[in-house]
Amino acid sequence: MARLAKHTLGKVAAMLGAAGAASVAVWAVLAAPPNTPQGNVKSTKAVKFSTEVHIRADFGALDTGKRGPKGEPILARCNSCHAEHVKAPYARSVTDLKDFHVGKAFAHGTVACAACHDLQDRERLHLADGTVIPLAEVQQLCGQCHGLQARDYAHGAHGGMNGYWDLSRGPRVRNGCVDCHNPHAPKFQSYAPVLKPRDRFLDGPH
Amino acid sequence: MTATTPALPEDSARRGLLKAGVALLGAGAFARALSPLLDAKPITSLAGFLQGHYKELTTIEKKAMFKRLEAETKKDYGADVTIGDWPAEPGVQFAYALNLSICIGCRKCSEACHEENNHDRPSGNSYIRVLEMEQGSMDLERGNTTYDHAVPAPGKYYMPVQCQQCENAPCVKVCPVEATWQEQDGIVVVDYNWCIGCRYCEAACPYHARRFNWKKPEIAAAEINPNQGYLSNRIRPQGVVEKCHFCLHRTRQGRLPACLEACPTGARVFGNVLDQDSEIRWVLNNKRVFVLKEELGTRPRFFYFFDK
Ligand code: HEC
Ligand code: HEC
Ligand code: HEC
Ligand code: HEC
Repeated sequence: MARLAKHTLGKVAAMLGAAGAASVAVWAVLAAPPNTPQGNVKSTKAVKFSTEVHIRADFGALDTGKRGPKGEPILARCNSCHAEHVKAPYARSVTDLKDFHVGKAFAHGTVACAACHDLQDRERLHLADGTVIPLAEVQQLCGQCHGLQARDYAHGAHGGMNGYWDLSRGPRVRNGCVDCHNPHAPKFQSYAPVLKPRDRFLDGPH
Repeated sequence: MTATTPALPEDSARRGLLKAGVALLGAGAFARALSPLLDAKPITSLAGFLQGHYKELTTIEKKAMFKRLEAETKKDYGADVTIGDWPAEPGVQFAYALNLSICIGCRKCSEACHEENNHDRPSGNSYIRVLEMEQGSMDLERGNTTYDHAVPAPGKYYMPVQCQQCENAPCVKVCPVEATWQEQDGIVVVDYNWCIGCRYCEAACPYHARRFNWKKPEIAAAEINPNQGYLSNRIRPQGVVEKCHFCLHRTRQGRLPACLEACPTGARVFGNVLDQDSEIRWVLNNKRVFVLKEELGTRPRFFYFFDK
């Protein structure tokens, strides 16, 4: 597939370049001189509304599986165990786990627990240079090892969004990396497709 | 754009295609194309019959027409809807891009389109077809749209196809009554009240992006999306052609299209290419984008790309 992509893309790259752009149009538009008056162009520079990244509510705590009187999940803070009873790092990888968190699905290369979790404070994560970050800033951590996706994400080309393309008219909400990728088994889940086509037009390939 | 087909000189390829498209409708097909017109129910109101071409109507005439259409929807479907009209904005040129390395073929986009755009429920109609393709193949004609297993399946990739909003749109050229045209922001629209249902446009489209309303759409009042655009998602009458309009009733108010919001994978990128800082502009500048059937010279404003 990569090969095919390259084949057709060479041409498109040319058409994106300022020169041959007149013939195929990502159009005159992209070839427009940089001094095109921007005054009437709807620009994200006129940002009046924010882009909010969704943060999981259960960060820093484990679901005990028990439910409170209103059916609310009862959570145990990581540090309710780790600060007192489980101070030392006991496990490097999932196979080292003997007493607890056993059975956790783990399929993320050979990345060790401590590559991400801070073993002084397990409610926090740390970056490769040792900088400790709160769980909510997990994107930075993922971005260290996945630069391509982090860059694409920063430009809206990975991870999707909801709300407004035009931030001068309304806000935007985005999913964080761990909304779509379980940090321990990050492969994107598989789906059962919805809305099977039924009209006569779509019967079989054509 | 098919890797296996050598690219033909742009012009001859296009003309060849257009001729073929029209020739297709030559004999028997022509009668069939017209037949739905014959069983279409007569236009009920005199006002409907006398309505002028949309582009020539004054604001006051349009308002009156929307009121009438709203009342007709109430009568026919029992739903209270608002029909509006959002003109293309200066300084905005829409474009769409789709990351084929990310799309998993779940068809949530088709479903969102189905709901947003008040499609006929029994036929499960949608403006988006998702093709299941063999990895390594780019032959759209061999894509399968009726797959029904967990996705993504091994060895496959998925290509959603909807109206490509071509700059050089074959469908617009063949319309005998100018019921379909391209607006300033690039969206190709259909005036359902002006369309005569000849289906030339449907045959001319190399992307199979147009649909014909064989019967009056069936949709329960509770499921009707009441925020409707005259040129977009209002319930279409029987006997007219329809297609994707980039959700103009949303996008011309600054919002993202319904299919983009519904995508659980984040494969879709939409925005204003005139804006240097927009996401879509970034994709066009930094990803190796391509268009479908480039050799036809249709100049789509819908782009595809792979991450690797
Ligand atoms: C109920 C007590 C308890 C809670 C709550 C708990 N842990 Fe643990 N955790 C343990 C025990 C016990 C081990 C050692 C397991 C072993 O060696 O089999 C452990 C091991 C770990 C390890 C492996 C490295 C090490 O320190 O041995 C990590 C990482 C970890 N826990 C993270 C967390 C995080 C993050 C949370 C909160 C989301 C959490 N834990 C909540 C009891 C707990
Ligand atoms: C790639 C980074 C990364 C690695 C490696 C990693 N974790 Fe985590 N872990 C996270 C992040 C981020 C969260 C918080 C997000 C969440 O709740 O899913 C988390 C949450 C947890 C939690 C609480 C939520 C849950 O899923 O149960 C536990 C327990 C935990 N990790 C244990 C471990 C253990 C044990 C290891 C090693 C076997 C490990 N982690 C390896 C990033 C990592
Ligand atoms: C310490 C480096 C490191 C960090 C931090 C890290 N990853 Fe990874 N990740 C890897 C490696 C290595 C692989 C490749 C595994 C392979 O090729 O089998 C990988 C693979 C993946 C994959 C592809 C999985 C698949 O099976 O297709 C995803 C998705 C992913 N990571 C997401 C994340 C997310 C989200 C985070 C943040 C929570 C993260 N990674 C943090 C190193 C890291
Ligand atoms: C809206 C959901 C979503 C969000 C949010 C998201 N991703 Fe992804 N990501 C995907 C999908 C879907 C794929 C393709 C998976 C596939 O083909 O199986 C993917 C693929 C990946 C891969 C694997 C690429 C490969 O080579 O296989 C990595 C690594 C990754 N994402 C990292 C990240 C990071 C880092 C973030 C946060 C900055 C992030 N993702 C946010 C949905 C998401």
